[in-house]
Amino acid sequence: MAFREAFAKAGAQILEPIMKVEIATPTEFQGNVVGNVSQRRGTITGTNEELGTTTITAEVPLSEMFGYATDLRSMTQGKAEFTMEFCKYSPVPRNIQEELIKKYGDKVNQRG
Amino acid sequence: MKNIEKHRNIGISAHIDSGKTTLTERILYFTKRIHAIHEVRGKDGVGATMDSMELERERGITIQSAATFANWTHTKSGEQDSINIIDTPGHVDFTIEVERSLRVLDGAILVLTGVEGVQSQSITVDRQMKRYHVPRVVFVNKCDRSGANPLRVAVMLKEKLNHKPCVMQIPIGLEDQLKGVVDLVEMKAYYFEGANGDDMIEKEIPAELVDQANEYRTQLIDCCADYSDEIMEKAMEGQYGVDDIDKALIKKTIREATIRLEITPVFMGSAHKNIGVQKLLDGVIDYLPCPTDVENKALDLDNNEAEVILKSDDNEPLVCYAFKLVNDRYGQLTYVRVYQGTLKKGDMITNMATGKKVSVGRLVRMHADEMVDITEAGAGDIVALFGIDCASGTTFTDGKNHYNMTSMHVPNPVIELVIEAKNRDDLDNMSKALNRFTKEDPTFQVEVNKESGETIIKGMGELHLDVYIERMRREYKVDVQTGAPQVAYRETITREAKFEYTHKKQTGGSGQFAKMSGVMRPMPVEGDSDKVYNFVNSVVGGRIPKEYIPSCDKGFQSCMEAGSLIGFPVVGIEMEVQEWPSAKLSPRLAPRFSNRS
Ligand SMILES: Nc1nc2c(ncn2[C@@H]2O[C@H](COP(=O)(O)OP(=O)(O)OP(=O)(O)O)[C@@H](O)[C@H]2O)c(=O)[nH]1
Ligand SMILES: [Mg+2]
Repeated sequence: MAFREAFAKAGAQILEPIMKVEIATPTEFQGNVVGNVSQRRGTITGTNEELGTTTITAEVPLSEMFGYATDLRSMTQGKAEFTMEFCKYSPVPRNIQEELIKKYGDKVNQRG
Repeated sequence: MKNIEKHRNIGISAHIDSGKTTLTERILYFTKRIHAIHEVRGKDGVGATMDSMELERERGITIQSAATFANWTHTKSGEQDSINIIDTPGHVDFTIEVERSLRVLDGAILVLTGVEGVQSQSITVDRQMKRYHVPRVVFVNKCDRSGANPLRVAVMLKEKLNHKPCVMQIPIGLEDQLKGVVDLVEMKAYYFEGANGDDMIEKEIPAELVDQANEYRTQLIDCCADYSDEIMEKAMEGQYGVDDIDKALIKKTIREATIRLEITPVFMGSAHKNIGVQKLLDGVIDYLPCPTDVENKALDLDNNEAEVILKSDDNEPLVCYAFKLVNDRYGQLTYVRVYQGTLKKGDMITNMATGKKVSVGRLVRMHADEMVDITEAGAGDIVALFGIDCASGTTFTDGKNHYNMTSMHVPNPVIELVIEAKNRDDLDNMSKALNRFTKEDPTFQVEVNKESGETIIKGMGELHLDVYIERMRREYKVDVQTGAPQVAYRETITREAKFEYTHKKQTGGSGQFAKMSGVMRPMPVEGDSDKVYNFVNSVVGGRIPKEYIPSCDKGFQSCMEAGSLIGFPVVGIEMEVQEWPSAKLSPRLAPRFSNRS
């Protein structure tokens, strides 16, 4: 159909939800926490140190946030906390887009 | 309401586990709404009265907020007051509950703990309260725990939340020695004795605390001096004593500054050990606003949504707002706040979203999960209606005014999960459950995928969806199997592309088709906006019958529901249809194309 054909020609792209994440951690664990955020394709947008607690704000894709509560707990001996809220939609990296398309294709084929 | 100045609509908000439910339980006890105290996760297995859902009692967390009415007799003035309390959940995934509560409240108690003080969630909650202009008092709870330091928490309030704290009390003893509080307005000590701290006993300030009490009294008066010339003069003359300044003047000054959100009075104690709760209740009456102290606005639908200020007056035309739907063993309950006018049993009220009239059958006041029938509710009151079908966030009026309360901030769901009933026989119950949940909670959504037939639930986070799956199992006896959680992807385009399109009319004879061409192009989408598609009709000639155009638009829109990359909704697209052949093609070719069917 016209729409689908045009869509395919128009450089179609997948967008993913990005969350604004705020993490409050004892400063001693800051390095680990920041490193872990980067591993999760996050970008740090700010850090603020006060009274031994560092507050890190970051933008992280929601798809990378599954199980974060558990990870953060074990990284910081349960002393850190985080909150997150929706921030925006952004394009997913090319390799992930391909992966997602392949997975979807497999699922559709399976269904027959 | 008989005496609106004596009424308070308050919320209790805080970080998870800081003791909101425990505090509310104590408030109910001291206002004689309940006659025994049941602990959250208590050994008696009853669970706190406010956590009326089985799941809440088991996990010891609050999921749904409940509105509760209580009468309070001020311990100093002896005046009769009434308070509506909304207990709100603390977990981020239930933010919508907090938001909905804040929308209808006039003031709030922000609970912090004496040990941890201002925690990350307190910051979020505080931001929400600011957004809705909710004045607050702070209760520093858990002062009986080791390491508690309520006066330090007051400093954190300034450092972390940028509040101007006004310390109203100092603790008598701390940690396991906590006995009571010194009231810095009265300059008296208060002890809480009897089985459940029922007897509040006033004494002179103990000798060892006199210096500290004077120090904090000075701070309190200096704080007031910023808002009252009269107190300023006293302060300049060094007259800080309890007999130097009229107590009523101090209270009035603090009250006014609190309502303007300029200062935050700080109270302290231990809900669990029954210390300081009665004093906090007095504080709620003394310093938090009554319904007429705050300005509420509505949008006039007859006048281009111009803002109108509502009058908290029983005799004005009715405007009320349904902020919460609950379906429990009593049936469908709709919580409403009356902003203006009187809501009476038997009245016809009009739903502003649908224009439908409904009659007010039963009207009740809620006490956690028990209720009292009433015949009317006045401006400023929060009550529940029976059998009123509407979405949460609906405005009702008497039908004369077409007002709508400003809509609440409802975030879009970001995570989704495929679910399937383990037992085919449960399908009916599953759809009943899902139907009810979506009505109660606008951030919880359900979709059935057209192609796969899969049922997909959508929400704000893993825990959010978990809770509904658990509730399906418990309340509807439906066991569901879930797929892996997936985020709510979107699909879009990055450049223009041309398209050709043959539109056939379903019922027509030969020649009932039209060829069109056009352009698909990227369109920016703002933030969380729902404006994700635009249709442009550039067909000028008469070769394409007009009636084809809308169905063409509809056809595109249905294509947007599932993109061809991974089947997620398509956003940010403009479709422009032009006549075929487009101007660029040679006109000679036209007949050849149009002859082909
Ligand atoms: N030591 C001490 N413990 C308290 C006090 N108040 C509450 N607790 C305990 O703290 C725990 C959490 O209390 P809740 O009242 O459930 O806290 P909440 O804020 O309602 O929690 P959520 O609804 O899950 O956000 C319970 O085990 C309470 O018994 C207090 O003043 N002192
Ligand atoms: Mg609770």
